[in-house]
Amino acid sequence: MPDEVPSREVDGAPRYADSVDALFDVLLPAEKNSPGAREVNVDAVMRTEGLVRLAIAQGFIAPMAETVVSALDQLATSARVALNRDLDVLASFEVPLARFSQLPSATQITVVARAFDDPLRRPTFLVIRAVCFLAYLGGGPSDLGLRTLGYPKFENLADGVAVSGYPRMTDGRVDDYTFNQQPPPTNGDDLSLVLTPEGDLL
Amino acid sequence: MRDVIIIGSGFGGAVMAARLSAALSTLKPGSKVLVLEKGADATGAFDQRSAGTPLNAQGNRFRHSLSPTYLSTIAQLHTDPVGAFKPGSPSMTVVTGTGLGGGSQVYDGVSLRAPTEAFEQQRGGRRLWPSLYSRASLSPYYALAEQRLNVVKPEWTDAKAPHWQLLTKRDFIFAEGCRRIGATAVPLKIADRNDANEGWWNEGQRFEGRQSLTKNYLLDAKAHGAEFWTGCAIESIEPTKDGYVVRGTDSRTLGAIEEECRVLIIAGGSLGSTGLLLKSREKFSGARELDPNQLLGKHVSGNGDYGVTGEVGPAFDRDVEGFKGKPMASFCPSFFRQHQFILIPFYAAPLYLALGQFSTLLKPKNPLAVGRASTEVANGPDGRPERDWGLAYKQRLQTFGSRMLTMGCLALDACEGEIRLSANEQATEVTWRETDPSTEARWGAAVTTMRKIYEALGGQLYLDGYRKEGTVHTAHPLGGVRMASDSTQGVIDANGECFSNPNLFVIDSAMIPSALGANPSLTIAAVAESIADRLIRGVGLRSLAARL
Repeated sequence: MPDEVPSREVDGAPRYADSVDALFDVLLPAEKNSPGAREVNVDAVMRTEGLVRLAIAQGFIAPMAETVVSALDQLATSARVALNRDLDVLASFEVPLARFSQLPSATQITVVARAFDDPLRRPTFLVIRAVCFLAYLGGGPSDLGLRTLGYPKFENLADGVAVSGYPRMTDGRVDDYTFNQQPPPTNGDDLSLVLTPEGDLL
Repeated sequence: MRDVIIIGSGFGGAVMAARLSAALSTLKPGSKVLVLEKGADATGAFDQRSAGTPLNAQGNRFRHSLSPTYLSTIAQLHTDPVGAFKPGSPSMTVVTGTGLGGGSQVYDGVSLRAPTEAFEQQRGGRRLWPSLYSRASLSPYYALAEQRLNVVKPEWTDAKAPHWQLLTKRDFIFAEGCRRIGATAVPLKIADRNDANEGWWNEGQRFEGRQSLTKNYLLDAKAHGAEFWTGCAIESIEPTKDGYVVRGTDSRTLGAIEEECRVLIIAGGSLGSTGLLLKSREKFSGARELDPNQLLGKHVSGNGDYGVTGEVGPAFDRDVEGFKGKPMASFCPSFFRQHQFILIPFYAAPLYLALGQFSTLLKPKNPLAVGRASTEVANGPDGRPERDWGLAYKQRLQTFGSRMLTMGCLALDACEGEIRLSANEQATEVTWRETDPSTEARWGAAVTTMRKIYEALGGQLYLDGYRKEGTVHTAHPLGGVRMASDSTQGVIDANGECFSNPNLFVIDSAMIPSALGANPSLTIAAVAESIADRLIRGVGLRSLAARL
């Protein structure tokens, strides 16, 4: 795990910029020394122009109705305002007049689970989920999430695109890719019936 | 009027560009093949005017990034937005490469010859492949393609080879799983040269190790004077008195393209070529009707692709580190004779898995289930289906480096897919309405075998998109403009020439009439090599010289 992962207080009540910010933390939460969506700068990915259409085109999100895609076009601005409002409406069913960001963590999880079950809300929540994982797994400018999984750090961000070279050990040596070992033979499996000596199927 | 225009630069178009450029240089000096490519020139070496991100330190435009903005420049997903099998879920998704070099920019270099059985498949008592083709008849052309693509077979161990040229840890563990169920994994032939194995091979090979077509066939074409126009999307073709006119848009200038030629070769891949012909169908009428039997887009194979993810158990004493090294370097052929599938372990970006594309990180409710939409997500501790978000899911993702193993099968399917135009006729869509029982049986046997491999390693198989939603995922679309012995069975003949339109060829994955049971790039190149050879020599069809 990367040693520079920010350690933040996760036991106390975190402060959120808005309810969408709190939603990020529900979908992909931080733990001590392990970043969540907010720590990997999910906001930067939200600002990607045409993000929803690009994410659908790449298969990160299943195809959805054009009306939903259009509504989510301005994911970082108008769509975020609408989503904040919707989250707070959902929160108020749990605790009158409360914002989603003010709810206890367990209640937030319950609210989000219900939203995923709601056919009308589900597409929007799938998009936000995808944005969180995009940010965490190399789709944005932060490498903290990938490094948590064992990937090397990005080599540079000079062109604004996340770039990663081949895996290296922490001391800079190139990592070992192989066990450099021949597997033991399998008794009774005669491959001469299916393979040529060159290694093609007969 | 130009002599030859080629639309597309993948394994069919690149071979034809190389061979016909060389032939033209002696047949008609000064005449140039024009290659029109919709995507960008990521190498920066063929079309200096190509749009794209700035060149990197290696002198090309590749990045290693999962940014959707970047990925959209090298790959494209085609799907069924309606849900032909299950409302709300795609019935099929197809990933294709974009840009100069086509699929070779994103392929994993696997270069197996297709098995004899692939060429001998029949439907309704008729052989699918024209009699011209068999494994034996293609052998010399396979050899040519292997030489040009620099196909090699990596080793498990070699004191002289750098470790990144050897089979990966993932391959060794897969082999151990196979051994424990009585099967065998062996090295896989791949197109490769001094690959530095930078890990994210799938996202663009900026260190020049991948044997993409820009390093061989397209380079040959360039050396023989071929012109390359990238960023040029061709929207229609139309017959003229002496040939064909192609029309489209140049994305760099937003200007219109209109070029006429005597010989037109369409090589935009299964999706691209089929889509272009579907859009142009109405421009061909009377004796030149393009598709009188309404066969365009029908009988599309996914090459039997079926990918899964699972984990190796905590008791197994080695880490998988599945994201390191060559993306594919071994395979298990043990089940091909009985079930017509092979198994390949492969690299997969964690992002695709986390978002549930082709496979999930969730457990199936019924681990033994096989078949389309056969099972749902297992319940978690709270009695509800496991969630694909939240702390528990994030912690499962954290096993990616150490425990997760991704593998898939390639099988002989029954070409159940279809390519069609979207409602606005601007895009191509794919559907897979029903799975033939023969395909279902092969996939069922493959999934059962893969589950046994995971269990033999103390782990478990996760739920995949086919069993959960009924979605067929493939990176190997074949067919759509099927070649056949006569026009009742296909749109083009055995040489790729349209039955009703002389000098109009389709030479790429769209012409392949069946699944291959092996990754298809080498076979597409070999078929193109054979057609180029016959066309230049005038064997079995009018020679290139006679057509100019």
